[in-house]
Amino acid sequence: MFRFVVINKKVLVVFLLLIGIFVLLSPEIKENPRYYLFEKPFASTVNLIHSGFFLIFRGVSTTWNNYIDLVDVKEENQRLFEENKRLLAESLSLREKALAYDRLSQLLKVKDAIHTEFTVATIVAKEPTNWYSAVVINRGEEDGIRPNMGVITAEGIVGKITKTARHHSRVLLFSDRNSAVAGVIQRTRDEGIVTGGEGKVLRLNYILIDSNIQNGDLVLTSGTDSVFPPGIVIGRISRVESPQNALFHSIELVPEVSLSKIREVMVLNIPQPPEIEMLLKEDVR
Amino acid sequence: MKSLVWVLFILFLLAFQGSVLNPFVIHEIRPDLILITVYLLGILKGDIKGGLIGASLGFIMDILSAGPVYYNVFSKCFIGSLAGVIGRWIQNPGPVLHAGMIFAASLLQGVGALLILVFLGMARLPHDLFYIAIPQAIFDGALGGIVYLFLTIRGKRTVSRWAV
Repeated sequence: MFRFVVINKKVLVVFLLLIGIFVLLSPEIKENPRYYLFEKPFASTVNLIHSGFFLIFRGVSTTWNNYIDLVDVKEENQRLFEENKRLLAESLSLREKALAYDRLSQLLKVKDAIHTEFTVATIVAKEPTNWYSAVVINRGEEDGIRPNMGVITAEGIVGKITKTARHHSRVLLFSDRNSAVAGVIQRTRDEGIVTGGEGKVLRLNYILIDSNIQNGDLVLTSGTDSVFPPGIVIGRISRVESPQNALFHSIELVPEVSLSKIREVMVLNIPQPPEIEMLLKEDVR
Repeated sequence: MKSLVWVLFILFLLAFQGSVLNPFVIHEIRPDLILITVYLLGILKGDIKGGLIGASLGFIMDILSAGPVYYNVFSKCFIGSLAGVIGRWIQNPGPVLHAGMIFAASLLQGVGALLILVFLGMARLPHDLFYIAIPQAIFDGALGGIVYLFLTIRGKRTVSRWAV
């Protein structure tokens, strides 16, 4: 037996690998809202490197803003130019701070509007494949982040937390194919489910064919999913098709938030109904 | 020491693939740097090592991905093994041939991902094929060919353990 193992080591390795791969192909393994023990070291290490990359990115962009456009200094104007450079650097730095202040004040305004506790987080990484839309934020279980929490910006919704670790969490963006948000059309009050569509376009489902909806109508969260409070902007209707004999409209909407440009987000801490809390705990187990 | 450098390189590459620093993006389509790496390592190291490296990298990529199943562990393992076989059987391959092979491998991986999504009822056809799988395969092929060309120019030799 031992001789067989030694001789056929490669065959054995390939055999074990294949078994492992087929076990991992089960969707149940990936559905867990917390990282498994075998996933944790890899996820934590790579996300630590992501945070490092993010710091480099921020440092480089700040340096770029402050200095790179000022390097071409003429010798005869050195003193004046140095002074100018210092002032310009200060101005740019202040402008960056002002922009950050504006963004954070927008978030605070939203806080007043939604009356919900929240945690501000920064996006440090993105989904590595092109098939799904997700980001990683720099807040995790230690900051009170739990699966199924809603994530928004001042412009509108971003997504929801699907997986958490100690210091980071994964946010499934609402443009993803797995995403679903309860929405309501502001003008007509028709309620439906907003799902990820093709590319950047979203779909609003289950709006009855007799509803009087128009292009440009604003779609907001309805609050019935216990993830987002009511009244947060999702997007605007861009196309309505009403096929004959169909029960529902076919509706496309364009999101209000530009998901590729967001940096800071708010993670909402809405108390979940006891049934959902119980289901989440069962999932973790 | 050499192993440590390899592990660090691989972790760096995996982090870079999903990083906000990654500049390789055209219309929100990113090339699969892990696929290109696995392919080139498979060519150099042979089918068994290529498959094992592919499975390891795919596994970590799956941990970081929001996908519903561990698929990359399977696809990257296959691509690593396939590259090992190609490295053994094709003598003196050029960058164009490698670009074509990486394109084919990436397209195959994309079709596999699409089949899983069809099976799970999450596919958006034909959008996924024409706007994700094919553009990514072209991007992967082109970038893989350039990386191979760069490696051969630097090393002044064909990157294959079997080539004369």
